[in-house]
Amino acid sequence: MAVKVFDMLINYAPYFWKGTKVTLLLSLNAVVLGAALAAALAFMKMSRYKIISKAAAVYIDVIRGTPLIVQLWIVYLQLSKLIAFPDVIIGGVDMTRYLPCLIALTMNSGAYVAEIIRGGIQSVEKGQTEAARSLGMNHWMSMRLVILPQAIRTILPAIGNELVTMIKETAIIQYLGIADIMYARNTVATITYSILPSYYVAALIYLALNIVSTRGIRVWERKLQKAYN
Amino acid sequence: MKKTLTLLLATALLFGMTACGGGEETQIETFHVGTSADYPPYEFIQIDENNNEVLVGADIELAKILAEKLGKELKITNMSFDGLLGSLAEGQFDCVIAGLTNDPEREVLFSDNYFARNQVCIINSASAGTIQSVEDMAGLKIAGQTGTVQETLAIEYAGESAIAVQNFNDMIMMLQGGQLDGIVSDSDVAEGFVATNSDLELAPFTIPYENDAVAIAFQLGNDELCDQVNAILAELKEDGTIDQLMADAKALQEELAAE
Repeated sequence: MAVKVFDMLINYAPYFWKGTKVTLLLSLNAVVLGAALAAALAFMKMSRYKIISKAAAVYIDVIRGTPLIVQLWIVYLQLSKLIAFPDVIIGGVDMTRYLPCLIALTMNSGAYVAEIIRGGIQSVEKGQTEAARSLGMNHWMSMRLVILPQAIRTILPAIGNELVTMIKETAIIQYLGIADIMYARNTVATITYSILPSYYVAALIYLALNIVSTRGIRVWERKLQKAYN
Repeated sequence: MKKTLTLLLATALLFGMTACGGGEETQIETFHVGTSADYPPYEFIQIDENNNEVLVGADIELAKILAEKLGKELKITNMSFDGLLGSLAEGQFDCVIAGLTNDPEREVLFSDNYFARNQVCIINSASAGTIQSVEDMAGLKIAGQTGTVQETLAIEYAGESAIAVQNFNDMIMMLQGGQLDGIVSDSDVAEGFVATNSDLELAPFTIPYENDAVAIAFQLGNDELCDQVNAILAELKEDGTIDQLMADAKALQEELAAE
């Protein structure tokens, strides 16, 4: 078995590498765009206006309360009816399916990260805001100059972890026929008729990606801490 | 660190921008076909020397001929089989060409049949002799691919012990590993797997099924395109092209498996 796995990894390395690039690109894009969406959601949720905070809360509940694969199909089938996605192929990736997929992953990631951001902001002691306000800063000034710089230290590493999660979660996008790692695995399995080894190859690639990104995040986290201590 | 972040944001923005623009210039009409390319010899994937994937198989060649005769540009979307008909219903493609059984229960508009075939049962050679007839399937762990006619047949003949599996390759592995007793399959597909796996064989019977033919699926109401395609299919059947396509696909499949 080990020989078969190794053989497959070597023989189809360039093809698996293509899939790996798609997985990485999609995960990175989804997490970065998701973080922007999450910041907006977090502030909405902390808003003084009930209707705004309620809307954000409902959105987060809906996304966190439904499986990603369901969201993926709904976004793909529903959104394609409302928006004409550009029918172009960039880097071998068909945008009419890549974009709905990216949107679904972004929407999903946004809901999870929103809670991380809100938690990070609220973890800064209330006394800090009070002190800032008593120095004459308004709400946004105290948020920008006092609260956020402290909150960011807990938020950024958590967003890094979201990337690790996302790399694994994207494994379902092969159902839409996007040529990621799992899609490459299926293709190679169909060609070689050896199925179990193909799963081991996929597992090794995901594991390698996530070990590297987890290490990277840890180094980054340490740097962030050092800068503030 | 800032540089990487900027780079990431830039790529993200780029994708965002492409989402807004474009979509205006369409010169030639496209003939958009949905398929699920893990089903040799109907449709499967070959990796060429540049590590690009190439869709091949009898259905793919048929799609090319249809597009050419319709005077349209062919676009093929490859996705999981159980997503195909839903996507067709929502207007994602013009038609689905995926070794699709002409099952009247499916709420689509079917073309005329273009391939005929049988339904068979793939079994593990270790259990040869124990499954001799359709009746023997009752109570066994018989699988069919999710969303296919074969799944329905598995349930019909095996009863509650029938299993639906999303991916055909996974089913083969489960059969080899002893997790399944048999797989209901199209004869064309089954022959390929049996030929390349010495531990698998066909049970000595065919499973009775009345709608045993392959057709192209269109969105309900798309009679215009369906009629055009039917006319072309009639021609292709007449001059023997259809049979040749299947023969070529099987030859290619054997050639690839031999490599």
